[in-house]
Amino acid sequence: MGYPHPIHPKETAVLSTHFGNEATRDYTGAVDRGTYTALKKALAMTPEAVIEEVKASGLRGRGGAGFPTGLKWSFMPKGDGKPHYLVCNADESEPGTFKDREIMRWTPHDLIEGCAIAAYAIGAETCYIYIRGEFTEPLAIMERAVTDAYANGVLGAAVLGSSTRIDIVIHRGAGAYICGEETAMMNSIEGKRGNPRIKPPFPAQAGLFGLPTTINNVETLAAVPHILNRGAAWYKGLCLGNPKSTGTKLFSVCGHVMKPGNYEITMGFPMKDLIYDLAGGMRPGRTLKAVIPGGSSVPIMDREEAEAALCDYEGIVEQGSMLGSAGFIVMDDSADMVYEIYRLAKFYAHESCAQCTQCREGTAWTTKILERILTGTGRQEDYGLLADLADNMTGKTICVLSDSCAAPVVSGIQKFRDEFEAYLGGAKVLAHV
Amino acid sequence: MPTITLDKQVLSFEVGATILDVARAHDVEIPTLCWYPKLPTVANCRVCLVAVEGQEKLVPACNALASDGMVVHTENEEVRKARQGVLSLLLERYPAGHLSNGGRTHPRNEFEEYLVRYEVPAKVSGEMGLRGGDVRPGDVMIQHDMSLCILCTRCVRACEDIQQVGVLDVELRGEYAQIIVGGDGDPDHAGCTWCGECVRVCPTNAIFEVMPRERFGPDTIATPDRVVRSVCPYCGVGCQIDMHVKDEKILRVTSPWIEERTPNFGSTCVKGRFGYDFGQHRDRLTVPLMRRGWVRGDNGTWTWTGETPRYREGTWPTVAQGGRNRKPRPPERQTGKPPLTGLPVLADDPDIRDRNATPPEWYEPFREATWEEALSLASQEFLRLRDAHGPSALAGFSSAKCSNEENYLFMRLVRGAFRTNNVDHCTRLCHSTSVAAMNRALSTAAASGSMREIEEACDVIFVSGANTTETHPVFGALLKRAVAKGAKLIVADVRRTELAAMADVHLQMLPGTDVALYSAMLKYILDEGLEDRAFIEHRTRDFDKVREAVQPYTLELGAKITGIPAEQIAHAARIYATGPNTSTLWAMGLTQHAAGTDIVASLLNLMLCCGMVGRWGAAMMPIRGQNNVQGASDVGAIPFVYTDYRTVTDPANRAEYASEWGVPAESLSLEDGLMVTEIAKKGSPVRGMYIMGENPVLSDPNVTAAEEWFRGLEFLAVQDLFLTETARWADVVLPGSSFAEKVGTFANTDRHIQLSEAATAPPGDARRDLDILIDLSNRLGLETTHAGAAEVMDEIARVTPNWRGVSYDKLRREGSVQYPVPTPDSPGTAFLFAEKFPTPDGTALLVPVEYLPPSELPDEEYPFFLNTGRQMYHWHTGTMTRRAPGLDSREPVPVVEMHADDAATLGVEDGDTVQVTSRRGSVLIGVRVSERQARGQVFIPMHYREAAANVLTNPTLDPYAKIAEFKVSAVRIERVTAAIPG
Ligand SMILES: Cc1cc2nc3c(=O)[nH]c(=O)nc-3n(C[C@H](O)[C@H](O)[C@H](O)COP(=O)(O)O)c2cc1C
Ligand code: SF4
Ligand code: SF4
Ligand code: FES
Repeated sequence: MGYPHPIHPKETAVLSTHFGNEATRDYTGAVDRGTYTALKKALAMTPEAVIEEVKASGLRGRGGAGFPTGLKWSFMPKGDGKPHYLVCNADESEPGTFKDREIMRWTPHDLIEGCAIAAYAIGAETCYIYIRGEFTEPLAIMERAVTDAYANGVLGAAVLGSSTRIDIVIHRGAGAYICGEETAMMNSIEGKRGNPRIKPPFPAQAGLFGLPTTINNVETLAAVPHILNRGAAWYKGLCLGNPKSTGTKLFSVCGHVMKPGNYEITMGFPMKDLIYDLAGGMRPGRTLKAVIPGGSSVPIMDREEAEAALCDYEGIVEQGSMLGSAGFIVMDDSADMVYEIYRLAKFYAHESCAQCTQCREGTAWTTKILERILTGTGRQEDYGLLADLADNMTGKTICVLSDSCAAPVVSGIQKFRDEFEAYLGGAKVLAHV
Repeated sequence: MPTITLDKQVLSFEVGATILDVARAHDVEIPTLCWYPKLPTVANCRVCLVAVEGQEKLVPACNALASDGMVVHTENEEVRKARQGVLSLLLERYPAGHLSNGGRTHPRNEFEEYLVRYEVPAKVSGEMGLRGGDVRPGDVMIQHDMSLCILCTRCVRACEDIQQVGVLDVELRGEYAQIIVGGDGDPDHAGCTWCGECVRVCPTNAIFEVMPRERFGPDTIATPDRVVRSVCPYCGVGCQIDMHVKDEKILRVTSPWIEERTPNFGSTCVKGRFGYDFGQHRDRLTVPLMRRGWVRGDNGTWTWTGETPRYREGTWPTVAQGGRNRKPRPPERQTGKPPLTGLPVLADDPDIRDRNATPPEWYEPFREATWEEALSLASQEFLRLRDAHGPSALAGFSSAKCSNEENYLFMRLVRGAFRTNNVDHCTRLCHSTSVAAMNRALSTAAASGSMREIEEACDVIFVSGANTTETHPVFGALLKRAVAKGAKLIVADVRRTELAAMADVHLQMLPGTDVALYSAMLKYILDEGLEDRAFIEHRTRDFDKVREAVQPYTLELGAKITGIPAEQIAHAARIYATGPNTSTLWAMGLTQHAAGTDIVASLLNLMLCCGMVGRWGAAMMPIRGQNNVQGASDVGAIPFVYTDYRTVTDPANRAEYASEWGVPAESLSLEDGLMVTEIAKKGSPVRGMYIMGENPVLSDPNVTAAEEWFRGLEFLAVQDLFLTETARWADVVLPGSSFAEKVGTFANTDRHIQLSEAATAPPGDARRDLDILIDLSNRLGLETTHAGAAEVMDEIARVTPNWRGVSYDKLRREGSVQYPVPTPDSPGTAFLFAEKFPTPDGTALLVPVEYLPPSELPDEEYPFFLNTGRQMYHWHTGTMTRRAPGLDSREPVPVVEMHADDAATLGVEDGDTVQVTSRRGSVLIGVRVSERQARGQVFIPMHYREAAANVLTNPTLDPYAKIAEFKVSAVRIERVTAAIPG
């Protein structure tokens, strides 16, 4: 559902069916419409069977990297006698991305159900839901829902009357983007500085508190009950051609469109339709200039690429970018690309955890150079300097924040060079940034 | 074995090795900045990136695991470019003017060397600005220049993971990220111990030592003439250190490389790194001194023309009198750490040493003398007293601060020339009860294991009466690391020390109730069947007697006597007994009691009945105090034994030493000699003394009486670095040499014999102690022809079976060796007693003991328990540390520590002056309110002559080892207002 807009006929509402429905978001409402039946079903299966089902559905991580979820679960050691952990990544801080927020606001019990199923599948008794600090309303709703779930025997020592124990602990973030990165999140939950960790070891070997851990995005986990209820084959069938990208996905569309919102569409849906039809197209008299499809951490697509792309993992790669978190930042011809890129770089410079030399220094330096280009003191060498920095920042650091900063810069210069030229040639200048 | 291809070389590796590990093992150099051996890998600098075929991205060699068949390029074009990228990004924020204008030939640190090696172009713009961070303004030992910081975070990890302190951290994000000191920039508030581990690991000298720089300038310290391996002169851990020397001056101390097998793995505490400079203090004696009144006749003989009978007078206050003078107000603080602000800084107050320097009037009774004069007087008087009053009229105090060779020659001189066994040293006041108890039970006098095994293999650490993090900080850090890795910790201590506060169980007993505690633990263990039956049966004797003896000590009785809740005693006993590997550590808290031998014996009973000795991980560890207290005893500087604890009463032993020394056997005494605490005592037969490097006038219990006694001696020769409280009463003072001025070996607490090389020559006319001993021995008629320390060691090896394989060649080759070393090719012995004990039948003797309360308990008149001991920043009588400005600035003034409630009852606050009075004397001293003290118990450190703890302590002696009850006496405390009571 294109919340806050009514469902568009071209949408396939699965996760978003109940968005906006006050009546079904509390415990009784949710149970009335069928929540927790999938959990019951899962508890009657073996954990391995649950993992197989999720594998068969083709579900891939919705947090950005698109890693196959069932496969990730299968990495968890079996019978090692150690406590395992599940972490639900509800830090949603990616610019332009606001889908997890709506899942938590409207279907908190579906998320709890997804967490419980995943925890059962990977042998975890404890699940942490790490909620972005600024999400005060979703936090209140989730806390309430967890309390109700405990009160009704869904969580705790005997989940739905079974012998399985599952506890959910809600952890509130404190406003650092980097804590959305999975290993930084683990440090943060442990009370440490939110620095991403180096790999190896991988979380499935040594994650939270040094113990085997799986971490999944809110949307990923929220999709799991539907898969168990309606079957892997059904989910896999939700696919418009490319069998590697299955199911439905929430796309957060924002920026210069008439109807910004969350649209749930089947994987493989044409981006053109998403922008011009579902999201209402450009403002009158404006034309599409650029789209950053994966939150802000991916290369910028120009109009032609965007109009040609299919909305799934591979479709967007084909057009030179990445699906990421599927937060679409849409820009029309009024956008100043140099300035927009500068804003993005500044965001990453501010959020860099500062471990890696290239990221700590590179994001800040990139920002400074873009700043001087904007204010009229740029030099021709700055292209080379920016390219050099981007090269250093790409593929060489602990996490990909550094790459995320470089991506829009490189693609921006490449695709919108004329706008840079305008600044460097003195045709355009900002008094301050 | 799997292999990888590293730049065309095919190399095998152990699974689990990183690419860097493989490279280092085969001398392939990969640059690293954030990586440092033994620190957790963080892979944040990214300078070690290498290319792996088949992998899209470069990987950090320090964290990427090698895998079979991997093909790695460590220096290809892509890799070099990535490294240049990292280095130029760092250079951009680095103040490196000198690097772009020709200074490239003189890189000053690891980072600059890489800049040169990778031909990093000069910095582009500098628009990134220099980095900031906390700089420790005004700190006299460690400061920061954070513009040099490259944020490798080695310092943060070294502080956190090696030292387990956690003062440093990174704050802020992105370009603003920087190193901070605690929450507010004040190292004190953050618990800094000034160990300088951060200085050691920093690759850019962003963190540096202040004093060397202020004294010599950065250029001088960067270019030492030589670097000499030495051994720290302070505690029994025996840290190896490197001394940098230029123009015969010691510039600074640095750490041996962390991967070298030194007892300290190169770490030091504050004293090791910053306390070396006492040797350069201007109070150093550089010529022999002779008391005015000694006159030489024409025939060359000396006559005393002063007072008779001898009773020396001084124009200065005695220790007891000085204790009653008003002191400066101590810095105010809660837990023993002054705020940095307000402390005198070197720049403002160039000579904070003035405060503690030898008072000028102490020199008044002396005139300068030649060595010939001084030594001829000494030999004349020693021989005269010996011949007139018999050998027992003479005695010598050797020194646990001196080398094995010096101690050996000293005891040889006393035995061979004085012809008495009256030779002892400060072990008497320290672990003599441990030695007595261990000798009785196991026929041994040293630790059974190694310090490192506690980190490597121990499951439960039992620490009793040892404030290890302050008194043996490097070992303390090791214990904390072991706990961090999961070992359980039980601490039995009257104070809530740092270790106690972090322990699984803190058994906070009433002073002196140890026997009741260990007996109650043992009874509980036996009742519960937790003892090691097989060990008891095969490895011990007299178990039944001990079982009998502990029967009365139920948990209830134990709780009643010790004040520890019964369930805590039971809990601790269970942890102790179930190990599986429990190590037993103790120090002065156990030994310095009138019942010290019994206390140690009851602890040994507990240990033996649980079978907690003789395995790697189950160590028996008396933690020795001085850096060579182990060695001084091992080489026979104690009254009952020659080297290797061979008794003097056995004619066969005597014959062997007599022939080695070339003296008639009858000239060596077969009688046990007198001990320290028996010698300096009214009624002792001793009339003349030779004291080398000890300061009994401050260290003896009841110094009031001791000082009286020394003033009345007929002849006193003192060999020392400074005119100490004892030396000021001497007839001749012989200026000796500091540890840095001579070669010699020291034996540490875990039996490492270590060679300390000479860094400089002694100042002025001062001589090496070994040379003085050789000269004096010859003058006394004991022929001594050793050409140097190495030859002395050869002789020690000949007469000491456990050291037979030790030689200077071996030590220089291997760095150090853990005795027993029976043969020259022996690798040494890391732990003892795997199969049997060195007793005649190979089993350990269990000795039943009974609890006796301390000889002096608080009463109405003297309501407080007084405890005495050491502080982190000072050493024993302060002769050295109070002349090391960095150390002294941390603890400049004596204080009495007490519980806040007691302070409130007395109506005093932190910093106020009180009068502490015992049955022996009284001192005026400042108050420090401390969370460590229990109510009703106060603590006074032993280091300060101006408020000497031993004016107050109880001189009651242990019947076996003759140690005094330093740890328990009763005192009264009164608030002192303006007027100082007479
Ligand atoms: C800098 C950075 C920020 C991230 N922020 C988020 C986030 O806010 N929410 C999220 O779900 N994943 C985020 N991720 C991705 C997570 O690291 C991780 O891949 C994801 O939670 C895995 O879940 P999934 O497999 O269900 O997608 C971030 C990654 C990086 C590198
Ligand atoms: S890439 Fe940036 S954010 Fe990620 S770990 Fe390195 S410094 Fe931190
Ligand atoms: S101060 Fe030195 S050790 Fe610490 S982070 Fe900076 S460069 Fe590294
Ligand atoms: S040395 Fe490997 S990343 Fe720093």
